[in-house]
Amino acid sequence: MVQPSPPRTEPERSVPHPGERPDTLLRVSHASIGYRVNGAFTRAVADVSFDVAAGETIMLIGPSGCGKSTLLKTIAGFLDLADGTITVAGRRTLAPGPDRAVVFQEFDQLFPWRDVLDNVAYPLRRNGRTKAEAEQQARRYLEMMGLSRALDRHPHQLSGGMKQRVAIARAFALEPVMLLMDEPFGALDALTRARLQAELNAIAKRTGVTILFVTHSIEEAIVLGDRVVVLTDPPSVVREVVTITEEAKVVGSEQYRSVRTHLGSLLHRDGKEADEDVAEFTD
Amino acid sequence: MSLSSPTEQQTIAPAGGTPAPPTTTTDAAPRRVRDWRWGSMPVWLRRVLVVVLLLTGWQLYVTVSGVNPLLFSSPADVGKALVAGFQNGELLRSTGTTMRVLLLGMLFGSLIAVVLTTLAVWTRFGEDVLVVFSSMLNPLPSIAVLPLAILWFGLSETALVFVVANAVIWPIAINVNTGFRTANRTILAVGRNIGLKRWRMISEVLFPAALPHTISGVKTAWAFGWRTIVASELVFGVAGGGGGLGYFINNSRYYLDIPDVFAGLVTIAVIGLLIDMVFILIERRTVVRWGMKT
Ligand SMILES: Nc1ncnc2c1ncn2[C@@H]1O[C@H](COP(=O)(O)OP(=O)(O)O)[C@@H](O)[C@H]1O
Ligand SMILES: [Mg+2]
Repeated sequence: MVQPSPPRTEPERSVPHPGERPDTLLRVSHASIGYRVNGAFTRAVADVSFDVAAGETIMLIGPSGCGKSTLLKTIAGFLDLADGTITVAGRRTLAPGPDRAVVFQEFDQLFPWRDVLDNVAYPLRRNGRTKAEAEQQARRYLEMMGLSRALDRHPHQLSGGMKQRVAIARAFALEPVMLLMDEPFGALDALTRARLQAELNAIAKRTGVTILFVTHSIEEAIVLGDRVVVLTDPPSVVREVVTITEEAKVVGSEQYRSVRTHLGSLLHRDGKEADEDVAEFTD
Repeated sequence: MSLSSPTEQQTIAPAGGTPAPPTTTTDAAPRRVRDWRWGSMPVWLRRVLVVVLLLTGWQLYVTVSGVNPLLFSSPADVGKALVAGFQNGELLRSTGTTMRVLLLGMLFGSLIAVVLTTLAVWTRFGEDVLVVFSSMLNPLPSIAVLPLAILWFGLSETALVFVVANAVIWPIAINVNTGFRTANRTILAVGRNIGLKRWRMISEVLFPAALPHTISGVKTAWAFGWRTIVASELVFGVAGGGGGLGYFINNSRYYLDIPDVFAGLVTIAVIGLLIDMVFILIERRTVVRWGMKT
């Protein structure tokens, strides 16, 4: 069950990539990923390519089951590519590692036997920090997520939103090369989600970390993202990459509406559904 | 109640992250009223009262029925025998012998179980070994290997430790293995994500994640081991060997010292109770505190 995971990341040969920006951090190139179910191989991700620059927040959106999680897990190193290459900072992502910290959607991603402080400090201790350094750093990031008063609680004593805050603090505290977030707010109520989105924006700005964020909410994509990669139905390819301007982030503005309509049409969604999403979001 | 999801509760929590202190609502008030119903008494008091009831009934029966004292002793006589047995050291020595063998057997058994389960998560071969051995040896009543143990080790403590170890390995191994297999996938993924390698994954993620199962395995193992050791000592007593509570009971019967027979049984029951309390304490400080016990 526990897979041996030798350090399998290796430097990728530096092939010039057409149109590649010099500060490209994540490069997904013709990625094809599938699952073997009862002996038959089914492709979830057909051929996906996109680049993410350092410091960027890129949103991955698409219909349910289109392979967003599959792609994120492959970047994280949990799944193997069937074809293509994925590199982070020039290294292929063949095994999981703390350089690509993941925040999952599930609330049970914290270690129940460790308190809040130790949930964040423990991964740091296991990555070469002394106990004192680890705790100091953990406190700093937990404070950023507004958790200073919950340090000695155990996960089961936290609400869903607080658990996700701890998971986010843990991921940021690792100071990873990039952060991978798979619908971390998907199971939260609208109010908590909006609050955590704002907190995430603040901490992301403060740390300048690169983020790949999977969502199925158009509004979340606009509020959080610098760019949005829209995937098609499975086996998925990139339908379009949409850039989100600062003006478009002002909820209710002209730009916001037009970007939302545009993303909605890319996802085959009619106006009614998009409106429902807004209602849910502004509850 | 079932409709209120954790997400709804979250909206109550202030932005600072700490939820508001529990508000005093009307449902707290009735609890302050003095209430002498059975269910409103503390657990320990209820249990003690049941024991008192049992002892009273027992004493009454012996006094009223005039049962032959060579068949049945009164609690008073048993109490005297207990005090005497612990004062002259005989009962204490027997208890010590039994506990020493039991703890040694538990120790060896647990170590072997941990090695087996670790190998079982580590390699496919280890998993097959564990499955085959545990399905063969677990259903076997552990006392059944005693003749073999006597053949190999003679009428010695080693034979008893062997039998107890064999009795406790399988419940522990099976439960720990179940704990490993059912460990939360997300937490395992987090472990790999933060860079834990095989050994730390097992010792620092899998074992704590499997702790609720492990504790229930050790509980079962303890019960198995306890029954096995007393039964083995009885057989040893019959076979002419010495030592232990089983031997003490059998020997007292031989000399028609019936209060001592009962004193031995009471000692066994009380130790069982104490160990159960130890398990409850361990659970409270671990899996209950961590919200892992459902
Ligand atoms: N472990 C698995 N085994 C087989 N098929 C899977 C597995 N996980 C996901 N899939 C399939 O792959 C496709 C993409 O899944 P996923 O990446 O989870 O989608 P989403 O975009 O909703 O995150 C789906 O059609 C799903 O049924
Ligand atoms: Mg998903």
